Amino acid sequence: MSSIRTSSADILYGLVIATVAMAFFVHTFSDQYEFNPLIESVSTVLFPRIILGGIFVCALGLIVKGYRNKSEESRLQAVNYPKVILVLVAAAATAAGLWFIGYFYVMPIGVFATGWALGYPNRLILAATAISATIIVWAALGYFAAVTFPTEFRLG
Amino acid sequence: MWEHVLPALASSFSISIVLTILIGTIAGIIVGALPGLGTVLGLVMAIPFTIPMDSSMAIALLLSIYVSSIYGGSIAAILINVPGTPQSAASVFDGYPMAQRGDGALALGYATIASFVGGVFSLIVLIFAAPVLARVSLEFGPIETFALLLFALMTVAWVSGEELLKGIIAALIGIFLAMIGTDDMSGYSRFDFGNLFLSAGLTIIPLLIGFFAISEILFQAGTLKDVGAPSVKGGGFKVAPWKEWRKRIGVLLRSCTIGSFIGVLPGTGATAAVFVSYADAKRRAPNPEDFGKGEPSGLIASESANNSVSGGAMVPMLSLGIPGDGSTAVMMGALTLHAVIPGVRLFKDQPDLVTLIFVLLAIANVFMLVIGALGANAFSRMLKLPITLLMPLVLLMSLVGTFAIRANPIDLIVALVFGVIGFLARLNRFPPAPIIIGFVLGKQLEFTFRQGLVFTDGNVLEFFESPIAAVLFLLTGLIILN
Repeated sequence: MSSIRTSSADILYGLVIATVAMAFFVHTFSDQYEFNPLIESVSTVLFPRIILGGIFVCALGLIVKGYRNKSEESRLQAVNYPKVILVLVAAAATAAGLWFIGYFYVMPIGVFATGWALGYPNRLILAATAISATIIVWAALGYFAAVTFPTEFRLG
Repeated sequence: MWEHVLPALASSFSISIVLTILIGTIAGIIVGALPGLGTVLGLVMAIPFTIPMDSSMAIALLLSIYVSSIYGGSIAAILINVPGTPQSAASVFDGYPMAQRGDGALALGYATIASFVGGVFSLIVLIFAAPVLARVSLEFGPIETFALLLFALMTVAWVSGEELLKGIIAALIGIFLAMIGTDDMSGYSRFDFGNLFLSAGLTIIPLLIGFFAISEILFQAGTLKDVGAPSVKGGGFKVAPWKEWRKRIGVLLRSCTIGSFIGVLPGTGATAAVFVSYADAKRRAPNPEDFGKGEPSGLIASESANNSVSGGAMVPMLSLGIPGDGSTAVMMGALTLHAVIPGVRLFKDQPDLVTLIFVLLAIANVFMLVIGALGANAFSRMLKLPITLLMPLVLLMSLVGTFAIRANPIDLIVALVFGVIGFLARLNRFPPAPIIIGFVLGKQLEFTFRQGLVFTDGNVLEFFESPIAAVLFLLTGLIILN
């Protein structure tokens, strides 16, 4: 488990948010948004510029706040990042598999893998839960609610 | 409105609606009772089930989950000393000590009845306040509406997080996300970078699932400590004698009033209401020293206040189209999927639907009382389910729910991306509610702003000539300068 100081996180988040906001702000000056008074009386990008400007200013405020509080000891909640990444990979693989391979092939494995990545100890119960949940959700959504699930291989 | 009551009652008592409310109530109590799930997640996971439903069934399911999940949080608070939802945080103070001394069933009885009374009280407030507010807002032009939306959004940003600055950034990001895609007024596509999917704009469901469900799974993965199955103290359901209730009628009614009033205010929500009510009950009690040691008045104050927020929070959502917290934002997003657009027009154009919502809310409260009483033992046993087994099921529902909306795989990517963003935001205490509410209100905010500019020939200073708008801008300015 590792955690960083709140002040450092504020500076980092502020920098990222300010950079992204500035990039979008600059993008609003591209040709595609050229103001055409015949079509509209207010530029399409006026409001986005105000909002992006606001985000940029607030992000700068966050950076300043981070520097001001540098001496403070408060830290973000400690996080087990490898576990987060493991669960994220399991979730992303399940999402990709849902589309490319099909619901029934992927969901039991995805649920099992996520439970395992989270640290559930009893693999037998986990497998039983994964299979039964897949069937129940299919019955509830696919059969009764007529939601269409991908059921075929799209690979190749 | 009253002429619509009988037809609304007739359609509410159809088998399909009753069954939907029954399922919604049970599901709501379960997601409320299990720590780590909660009201918002329960509503988000229910959205895919509403897709094939007609609007009345969808509303019935969402309302019953909303009402009963708030109550469900008290079961975990009382029996395992962990609030199932943040709204039940204060129920731990007196509920758990009662369970420890062997009065768990009695505590659940107090919580269930107080929740029911709170829910019904707030419904009465909703029935009388929402139409009045809707009528008043009919007088609003675009400038006043813009000022009102801005004020509501800034209030949410102010009170829903620990820091105003982060709340404002979250709200502005939400507004920006709403601007991606085709601009309704001019037909220009914005921020799509030539991507067809982005030119259609982001839809609310993948955002909700990403911000509330996927981010919750990642957060649990990163912060979970192996504490084993919780030890459940007691269970069951027992009603206290009338003389015990009679002593506490004042606490009950005051907490209902506080909860309903706070519920109407944007952003404050049930968590604030329960602490205010609890503090008020303790301050006025003849035995304040017993609070925190198993005094039923503390539990009654907390549970009646959190459920009375449910109706209060729906006042601005139904009458103005302004969701006050994450739960009502999710409900509003789900309702728009069914072409039910909360706001002034709803009261004018679909008074029958508004009446149906009131009737369904009343029935949902009755079901919560009955099922809460009958199923107390079963719900208590469910508390032993570990979060590591529940979260994979949340993932399953999240992915299927995202996909079910329009069978577009890009929605899965959006949900995952916003899941990661939501996780990172939560780590550094950026509140999620302003992002979602900013997204929900973003398009209307821009529309009214641009309409206002057209009306005033581009002179922003004229926005302040309307007294209502001027007062709202002043209040917004005070919040920002806070």
